[in-house]
Amino acid sequence: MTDLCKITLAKALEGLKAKEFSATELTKAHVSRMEDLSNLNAFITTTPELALQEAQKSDERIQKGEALPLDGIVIANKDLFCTQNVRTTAASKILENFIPPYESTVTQKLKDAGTISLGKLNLDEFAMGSSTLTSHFGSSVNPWRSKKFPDKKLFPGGSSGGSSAIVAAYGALGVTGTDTGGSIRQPASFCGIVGLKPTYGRCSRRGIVAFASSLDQAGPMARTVEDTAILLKVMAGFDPNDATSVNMPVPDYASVLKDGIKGKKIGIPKEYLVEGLDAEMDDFWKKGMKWLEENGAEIINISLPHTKYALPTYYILAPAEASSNLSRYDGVRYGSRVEGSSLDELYENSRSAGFGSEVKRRILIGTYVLSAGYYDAYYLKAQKLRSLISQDFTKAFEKVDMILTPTTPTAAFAIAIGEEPKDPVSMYLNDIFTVTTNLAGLPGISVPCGLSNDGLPLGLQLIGKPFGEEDLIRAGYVIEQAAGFTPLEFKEKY
Amino acid sequence: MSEHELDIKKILWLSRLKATQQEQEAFTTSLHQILNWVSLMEEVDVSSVEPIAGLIQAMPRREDIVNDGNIAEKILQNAPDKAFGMFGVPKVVE
Repeated sequence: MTDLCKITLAKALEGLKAKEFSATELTKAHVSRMEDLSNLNAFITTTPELALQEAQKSDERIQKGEALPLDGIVIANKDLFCTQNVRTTAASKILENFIPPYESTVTQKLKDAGTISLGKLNLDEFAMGSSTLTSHFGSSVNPWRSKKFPDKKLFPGGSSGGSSAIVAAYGALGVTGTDTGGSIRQPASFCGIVGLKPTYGRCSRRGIVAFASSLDQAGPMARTVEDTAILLKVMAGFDPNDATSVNMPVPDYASVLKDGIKGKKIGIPKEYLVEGLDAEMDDFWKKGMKWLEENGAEIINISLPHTKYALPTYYILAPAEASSNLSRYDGVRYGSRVEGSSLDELYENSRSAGFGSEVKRRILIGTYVLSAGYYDAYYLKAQKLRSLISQDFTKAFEKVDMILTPTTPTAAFAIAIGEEPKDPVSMYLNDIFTVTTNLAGLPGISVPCGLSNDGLPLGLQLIGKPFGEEDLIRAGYVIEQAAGFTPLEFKEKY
Repeated sequence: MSEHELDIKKILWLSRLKATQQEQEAFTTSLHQILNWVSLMEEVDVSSVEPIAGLIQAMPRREDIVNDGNIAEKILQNAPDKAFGMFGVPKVVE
């Protein structure tokens, strides 16, 4: 049975189509795998009965020759997507018992395509973090272990850390994630899988618990570039209920997989050679350039001069938007409530008991930078820097088609669970190579490129032009083939 | 802006959050760390730059038509306190 968990999403589709196995068999294998993998703490809520019911419906459709595009494909969703009648927590105590009466557009599209969800995956509280450390339900665990300290549990990255851990450990064929500052690409890199953050507006944000609305974007995570492309096609598309979603046709992303990159120009930004960039990571970056060059691409040095201001800009804008978005949690309409003698006290009590300390810290920073007297110096200044950072990319894309960078500065999370730094800024530095694309609204993909000396996965990131996802899939596939990355060894448990 | 005046009590009030004395000190310390770090932004002259709030330049308008309704029960479904089809709150008039 576990053999059905080892295959890729693309192979599973073929197998279902050829009736080599049924959707029920595929789902049963993953449900039993989910139990074996429980110590990864990847799920907040599991829905195995629902999954098996849906699998039966898939099988009926397949039997009748009425199969939907992804009928029977077993996935799971980050617990930031509202799912009708299935608890949605955003990994926060304040939403511990929240049952949405409606379904997010992206998860609805996945359902309409016939996918089967195993449940809701762990994340940092309200997606604020890079490790799952801030989840009210405890951290998830990376199925990879370092050679040097095999007994130490490592973070899977974040915020989509439950997503990356379960896919890497062969617990789902593919999953959804969301990315506000790197939350798809960084955990994908740390768990040795592929993660794609689409262009802002490519996927609907309706029904995704809002963190920073001008930066948030949903995207797929899977074990191969092809699987990611297959999922993206279903997730993407215009939604009249999200005015920031873009009304453009959705390409068949998987069909361009093997189109190659002959003649493509790849930019290498000198500003990404930062202090703190791991030597091993730097080596893989150079290898990445070589692989692309050997496949017919041209490597061009470029400059993104405002790169060093991207993190400070992000850590003003994202908390500012978050402080506004999270004002809806008032203990009145939904979410947990702690009584008070006045309405204000009710708000204060409910919010103080319901939010964790990182979320509170970001609300406080956001409130401060938006408050009278500080707005111009912080918020407005950050919005202007965002302009400059975005213009850097616009200029660069006059010369190149894509940009190649490392996904993260260090080999998979060098931090063991329980040994995390207490200073928030040092955790924020993890996002250094990923936040720029969110600020500029660009698509980015992280593809595993190899293992560190310590045996932990490393990822390379490709950044594309707006709506340049097809380019990323073509180049991502070239890197995937050239790297010959050895995925995680399949084990009963991790 | 190098000296960050930080009235933590006021920020907590604006955020509708409460904190013990010890928590207030911890928040003040970490907020100072963050503000010192972001002060790197000061070295860029942005006097001639237009700010942007997002990447979507022109959001499409849609017809102002009702597309749902009669879902009061669904809206109240997650309310911690409700009565007579309304949200319950503490007394707000004296």
